[in-house]
Amino acid sequence: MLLTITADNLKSLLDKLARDSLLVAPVLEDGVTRLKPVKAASEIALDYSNTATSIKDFLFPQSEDLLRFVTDGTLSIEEIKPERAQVAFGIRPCDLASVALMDKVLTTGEYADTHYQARRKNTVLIGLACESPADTCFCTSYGYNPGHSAGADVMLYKDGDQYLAEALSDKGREVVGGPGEGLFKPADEAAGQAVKKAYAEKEVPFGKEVDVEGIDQLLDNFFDDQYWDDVSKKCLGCGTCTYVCPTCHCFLLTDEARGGEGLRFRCWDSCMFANYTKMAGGHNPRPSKKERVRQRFMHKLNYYPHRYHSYLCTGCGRCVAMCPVGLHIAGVIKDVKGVKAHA
Amino acid sequence: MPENPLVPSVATIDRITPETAASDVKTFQVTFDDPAVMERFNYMSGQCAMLSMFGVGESMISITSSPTRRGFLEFSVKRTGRVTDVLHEAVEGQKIGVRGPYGNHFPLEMLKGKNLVFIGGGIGLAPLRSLINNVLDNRKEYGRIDVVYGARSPGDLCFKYEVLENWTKYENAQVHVTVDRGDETWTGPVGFVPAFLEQVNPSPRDAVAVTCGPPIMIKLVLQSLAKLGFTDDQIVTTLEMKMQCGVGKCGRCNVGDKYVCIDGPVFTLSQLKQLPPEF
Repeated sequence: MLLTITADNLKSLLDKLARDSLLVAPVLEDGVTRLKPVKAASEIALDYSNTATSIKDFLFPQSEDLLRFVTDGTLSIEEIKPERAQVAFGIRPCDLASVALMDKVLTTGEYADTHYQARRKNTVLIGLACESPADTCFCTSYGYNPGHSAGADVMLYKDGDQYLAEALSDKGREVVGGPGEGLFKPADEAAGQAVKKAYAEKEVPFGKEVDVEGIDQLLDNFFDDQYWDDVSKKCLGCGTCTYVCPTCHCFLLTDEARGGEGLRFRCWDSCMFANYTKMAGGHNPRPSKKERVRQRFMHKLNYYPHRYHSYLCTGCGRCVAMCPVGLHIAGVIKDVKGVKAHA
Repeated sequence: MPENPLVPSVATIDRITPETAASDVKTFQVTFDDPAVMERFNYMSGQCAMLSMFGVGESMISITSSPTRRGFLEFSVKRTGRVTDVLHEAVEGQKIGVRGPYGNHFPLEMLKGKNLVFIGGGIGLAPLRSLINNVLDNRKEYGRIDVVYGARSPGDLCFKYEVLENWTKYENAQVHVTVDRGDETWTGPVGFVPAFLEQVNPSPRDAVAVTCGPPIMIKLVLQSLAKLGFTDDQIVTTLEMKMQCGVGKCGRCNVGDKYVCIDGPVFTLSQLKQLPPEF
């Protein structure tokens, strides 16, 4: 059922959510809008194309403790479980889509990542459709769009001075019927559908330039191409692309100990770093930038699609905006198509 | 058993056996402190486990004991890096963390009824030892067995009792040992494993070859096996990559779309040829 909520009532709802649980929302600070825990709706920024960093920071944090150990003479291990529930507000369609891609890696197969799984279960995602996609956005290249709502528990679409709303899961219905009780009104179904359609059909100019169609297959026989030597030369190996990417999920396990006790935690790692694949004996199967740059793009556009049947990119455009040397996935897709067309 | 697959269980090192003259390879026999964890740790030859030295980190190590011999696990470890340095300082009775077993395993069904050629170099014999003892414990199910093993020097040979005495006692089983450089006590063959394998000249007929060792040895052994007439489907080998999680999440051990920790470490040469040459 489609609902509406006024801007004032949405503020009341967010105030309630901030009071009752951990609320994460876009905040403008020093000219950058990013997701942060907030205490009140007044802290939240609503005028942004997308947040500089994604919901990944809160589902798969940069660093998280896994266990505590004591080693004085004997050995005891105590598992650490992820903390309390959270609500994330203002999540854009590309980032909602990225969560589904992370889910495939971290929650399917023989092993589940129990920390990620627990955070997913304890997180309510409130999506916000895109009014004005940035010039780096290309979600439509992958078949998503500015109104894409899959993955949201509640989806909001700004409609004049109010919001169209839809609860899409049990968690979402609990928000609408719980803290949101009395704040939402039923929407006119036809008018609501028209709003959704307008968002789904909204133009994403950069998306028109990036043609992803068939790139997975084009890359099947591209591993040995000279292109990787050329394109990797300008990479600085800084890892920014992997950190801002909402779907990059590589991690490192490491210990910190003092005396007879310590912590084992995991933190983000990056396939752009030289030590990432270096083995104890000194052998490194990806010794230079060429192998590392190739790995990142092959993983997103070929290896992951082989394994999980979708691309590991949602066109959020963060790497396009933030790579210091302009070496990003949209460019690689265009380049590979160009090389193949002239082959 | 911890709920999180990344959390190890506590195990005790019951016995430490130096394998090489320089003691740079040692075999650690361990048991889980919780008998229920020990009971549930069902593994197959070729699988690995993650050993934890708390405060330093973890290393993925192949299980060298055979699943046919229950009640303990054995890991033969070469002193190579931060974690194995600390493990080599461990004493009997010390506690470590163990999680697993991980990965696929040697294809026993494919080996049944076949003549088997095992080719190992140095500590690369560790995963093969699990398989060889497994096969010998079910001797009747397999054909002729040849073990071709080499190390840099006589002092670098591992599992000497089994290699030089125990395995040779089985019917229709031969062990061929070579060293890169002999010493005053060594009366056996001298030479690198690939050339020695060609001298041993095992027949490819109804046979499967399984090889494990340093990358350069594997590369040359694969060429020798081809010369001897073994097809890509008759050759089984293992890959080694840097690992952190062991459960297909952390990203670093992939070769193409395969993760060595869950899809490997065991591959036939045909399977290997489908992957990009990045290992």
